[in-house]
Amino acid sequence: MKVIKSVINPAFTEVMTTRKITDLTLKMQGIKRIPQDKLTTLFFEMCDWGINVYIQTEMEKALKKTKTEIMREYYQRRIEKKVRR
Amino acid sequence: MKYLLVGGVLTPLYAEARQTQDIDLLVEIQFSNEKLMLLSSELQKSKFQPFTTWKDTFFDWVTTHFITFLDPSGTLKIDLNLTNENEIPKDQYEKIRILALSNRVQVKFFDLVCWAESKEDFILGKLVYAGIQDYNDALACWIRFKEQIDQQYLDEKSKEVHVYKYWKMLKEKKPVEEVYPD
Repeated sequence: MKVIKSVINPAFTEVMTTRKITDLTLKMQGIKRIPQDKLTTLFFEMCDWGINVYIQTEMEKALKKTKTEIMREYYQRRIEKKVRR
Repeated sequence: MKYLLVGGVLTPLYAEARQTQDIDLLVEIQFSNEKLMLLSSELQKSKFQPFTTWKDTFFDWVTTHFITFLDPSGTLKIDLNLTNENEIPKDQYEKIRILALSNRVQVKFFDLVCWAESKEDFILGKLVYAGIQDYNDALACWIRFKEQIDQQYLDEKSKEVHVYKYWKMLKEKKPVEEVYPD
């Protein structure tokens, strides 16, 4: 099998990865100033939002499916993917 | 039953809050038929839902040390990683479970106090599992709590579970692309 080498300039990659670390460091400094309860609320809202949008989208595709059926299929696909890896 | 929260659900407390689709718990248990019956009946009583049947859920639990099921609403996956502190760990995954169990700490989700793995064991676990997301979580934890983290513990334990090289790179805040180039 032919291996395709990356055409991205290594200097550009280095700049981008350094930037990512700087961004993360700044983000963490910001997070330290946010009260823990607010961060926890944000986390739960984020997770709920993600699941609800997924369920809603899947329900629009298959009107007869219940939310439990949708989530079961979702998790089963994830488990199968993990097993394959 | 000794338990603790591990993994993604701890990101708002230890790292950068991110989406996660499951709750990972580590539970200490003696593997026996009585315990199986007890755990299975408690889960059923509390209206947790199996993916297929409860029999299937527990089918290989002694070998895999793992069971997975859904919460009563049927939307959230709960993974129970099972361990027995008295058993000799057979691999590094088992080792980090035992370490996490013996160093568990109390954390608060609003007013709810629960047991969780320590920040050090959170980092160690993430380095052992070695995914891109895992490394990023560990890095965020390190950056956020550098002053509080017991570096000596991590220096020592990371050698025991063969991730010392990655722990060193994490300390130097190396980006994930450099740590896992492939």
